[in-house]
Amino acid sequence: MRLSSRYPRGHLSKPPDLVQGTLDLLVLKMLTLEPLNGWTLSQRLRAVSNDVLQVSDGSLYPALHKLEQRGLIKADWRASEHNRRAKFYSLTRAGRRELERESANWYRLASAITHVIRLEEA
Amino acid sequence: MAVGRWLDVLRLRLRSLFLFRKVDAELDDEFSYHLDRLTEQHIARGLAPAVALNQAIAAMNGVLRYKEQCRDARGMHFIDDFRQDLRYAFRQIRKNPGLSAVIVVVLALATGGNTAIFSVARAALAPLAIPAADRTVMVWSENPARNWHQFPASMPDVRDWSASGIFASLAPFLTDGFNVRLPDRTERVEGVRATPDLFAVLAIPAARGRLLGAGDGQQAIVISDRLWRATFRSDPGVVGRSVPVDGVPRTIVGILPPTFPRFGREDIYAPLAPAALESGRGSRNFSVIGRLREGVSFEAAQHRMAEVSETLAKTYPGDDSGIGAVLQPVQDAYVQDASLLLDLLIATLACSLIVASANIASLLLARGVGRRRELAIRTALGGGRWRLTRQLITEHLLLAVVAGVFAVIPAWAGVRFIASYRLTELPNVDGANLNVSALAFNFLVASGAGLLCGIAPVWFAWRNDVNSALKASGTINPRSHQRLRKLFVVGQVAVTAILVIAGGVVLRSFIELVRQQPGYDASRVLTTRIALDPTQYPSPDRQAAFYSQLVGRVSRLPAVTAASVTRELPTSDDLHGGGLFLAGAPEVRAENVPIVLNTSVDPGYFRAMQIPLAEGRWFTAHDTKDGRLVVIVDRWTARKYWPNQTALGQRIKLGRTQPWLEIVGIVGDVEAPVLVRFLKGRIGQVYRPLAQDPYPAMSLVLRTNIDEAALIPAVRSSVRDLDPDQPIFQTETLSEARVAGRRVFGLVLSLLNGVACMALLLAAVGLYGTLAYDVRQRTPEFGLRISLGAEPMHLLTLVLRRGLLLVGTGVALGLLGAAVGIRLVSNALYGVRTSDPATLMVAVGLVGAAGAVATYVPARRATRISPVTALRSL
Repeated sequence: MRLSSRYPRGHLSKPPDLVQGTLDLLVLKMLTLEPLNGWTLSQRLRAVSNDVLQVSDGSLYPALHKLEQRGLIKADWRASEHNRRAKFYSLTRAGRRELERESANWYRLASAITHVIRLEEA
Repeated sequence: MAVGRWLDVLRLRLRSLFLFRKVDAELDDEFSYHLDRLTEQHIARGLAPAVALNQAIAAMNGVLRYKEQCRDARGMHFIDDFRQDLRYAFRQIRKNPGLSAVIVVVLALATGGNTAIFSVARAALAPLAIPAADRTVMVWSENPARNWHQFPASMPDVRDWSASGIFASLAPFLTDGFNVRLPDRTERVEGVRATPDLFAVLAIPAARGRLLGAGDGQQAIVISDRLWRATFRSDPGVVGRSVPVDGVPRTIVGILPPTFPRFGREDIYAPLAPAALESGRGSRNFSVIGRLREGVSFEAAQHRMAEVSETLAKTYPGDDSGIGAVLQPVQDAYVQDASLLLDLLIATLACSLIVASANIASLLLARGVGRRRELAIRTALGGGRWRLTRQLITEHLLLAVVAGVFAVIPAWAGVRFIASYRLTELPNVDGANLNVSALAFNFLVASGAGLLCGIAPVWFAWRNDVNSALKASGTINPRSHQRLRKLFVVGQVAVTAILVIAGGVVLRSFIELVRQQPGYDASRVLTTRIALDPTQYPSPDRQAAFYSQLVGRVSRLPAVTAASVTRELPTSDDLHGGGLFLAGAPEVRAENVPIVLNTSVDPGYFRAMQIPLAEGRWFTAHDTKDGRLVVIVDRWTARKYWPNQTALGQRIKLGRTQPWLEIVGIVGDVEAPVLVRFLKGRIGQVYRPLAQDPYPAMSLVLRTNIDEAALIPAVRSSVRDLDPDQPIFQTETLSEARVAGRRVFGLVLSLLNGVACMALLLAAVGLYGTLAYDVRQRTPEFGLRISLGAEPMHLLTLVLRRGLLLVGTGVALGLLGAAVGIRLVSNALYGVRTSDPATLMVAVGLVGAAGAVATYVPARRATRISPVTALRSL
């Protein structure tokens, strides 16, 4: 997966390995609020981050399926707002635990990086 | 909790596995939902629906890859791929039904045959059910100077050995026959006479009752499980019952378990007679089995026995000088007789394996080359190497599985077939069952071989780069391939030639054997054996008297045209031989004394057997024990030892200390049993009159003009009238007796010729396959040649020449191999001709003909190539 840079405004460039794990974290977080399907999830992500985080169409699904295989999210088919059947994902208890763990890691990492960047030049 | 999580995951995986179609459909639905929403979004932004859709599709570029990734995430793609591989495999097999069928049949036969031989060998070599069998040994006397090998021992020697301290228990024993009187009949039972120590050595408790004990005296006997079931009908009240054995009542004190090891066909175990126990140091009659003491190693025991023997030799120089004692692990002793036969079986197995593998290898190799192009194309289209290899593996594995399933049939049939020969040389063969682990093992080996042969050519193909394979348009056969395939074919033809020649030689010997005149008339002769119990008939006179009376009685039976007795039938395996000493000849050293077979007969024997008299006279009633000692010899003996004069009136003796006998008659030669003929070559036969050389056990011979079996009851009652304690046994016609001696030969013959036929077939198929593929590969080339003006005949000869060259090379190699083999065999056995041009020619002709036919068909096809279609494939 890669974060698309279709809209150059405010796009982030990140090293690839950071990206993969981060996407999982983002997905898990989005699903804490309510069960979502893949489309809504990607739209929501864009909206919440002010267009910064954009996922190219379809590339979210492998991540979703992987998370499902790991038992962190579970899926069921239900009717969407247009009365069409769609696959909705929701968080499992294990997913919640993973989210907490990964969030903590993220904060730790982010603050460490921020700290280094803010170092004054000697 | 963790459990719940794993359960969910498990459910997911199972769903992917079993409801894969549904899961796949769901995946598609998920993506199409996304596409719909994207399209809607574009429409909402003002694009026309068609344009919106196109934009959406463009945006979802890479959806296939994402779908694959989703599937990968499910981790079940192996199953999917496997199913796909299976479908592909089936398709391939259906495309080449002939080839696939041949491979399956060959694999099944090879696997099945090997399993059969394996199972039989395993049953034969199954460890004896003796606790700590490796501590149980046979103890033999040896005297290398006199060629005494695995010789029996004498009682005093056994006692001294026992005192050596290395044995926990040591038991001498004899095999013997027992006449057991049952309520309705008397039966002859084989058995063993031993001291109670025998049971201490074997350390197996009785199943019922008890074993022989030290205080039992002569009264007690122990019977085998088999005898208990068959004769006493598993009656538990048998223990403690008194049964007349050899005319004396004995008490059955115990019954042995069914797993008690047998060394022959013994069913009764009785104590040694006092006379035997007191026999002298020079009377070597006893086999000895012992159990080593704990802590004594085999080598240490052997060493100690050598010391003991030395001491004995010094102490008793007259009897024991030069005598050593040798230990043999009982397991080895048990399978000794079987080893030759097992070696033969295994050699057959090896040959058939070679033939089958070479065949399959060459077939698959040819096919693999043909698919090089296909594989190159698929690689160019993006097929991963591993994926394609997996497909090939699946395909060949499928063939192997099918073959493995079918292999059960020849395996089971093979075991039954070998068991049906009821060879005594192969212990436990009745109990030989299809050994499942052998089947599994063989299946694995066969699958492995099949896989290797299937994958190998493809691997070779890939090493060259894909480009050249594509460009090659299928006409190029890399040199290494050609050589390899030619090698396979030549090798196959060579092995086939060897097998066919060997089969032919054995067949020829067998036919000669069967057609040979036995020297007597075997038709309409009934034989039966009688063994007088020495305790009831202690004196030779009484024994001779019994048999004279018996012959007189049965001669008077209606439908009996002649009756007689002989110590051993000419078909017996138990022939007795002795050294031949000629009167007036110079002293000969012990190892150069010639051997003759000798037997003791009633005067009417030659007439009863229709053996012609060449010179002199028959025995008469005047040849009594008080008269002159006479002997009759056969023509071969007479000619060999008295080549320039008549043998009549000459004198011989049958042992250094034996009395001189005068030759009064010369009779026609009589054939000796198969084993004697092959192992010892031609030996002479001499006859002595019953009155002068009686024996307690004799064979009764009756010539009749009706069906022999009808006489049996009359014979039985005649014997019973004379003495109800004496049973008759081994009742068969003389023709049956002759055939029985050929059983081992028959088995070897069937096996060898069976394998030879299969090899011939396979070689032909292999040759055909190779050449057919060759022609197919060269089709464009041939088409080109034809279009350039070549004669079809020319092409025919081209292909023919190539094929016949292969066949010729193979046959030449085979001839070489066969010549060496025959030389080796004829050194070991007599009666095998070293040069047999007729058989060789027939065998070579057969192989050559098969090769020619196999070559001709594809060659013909070469001539029918239409240049137009051939050139199109360029």
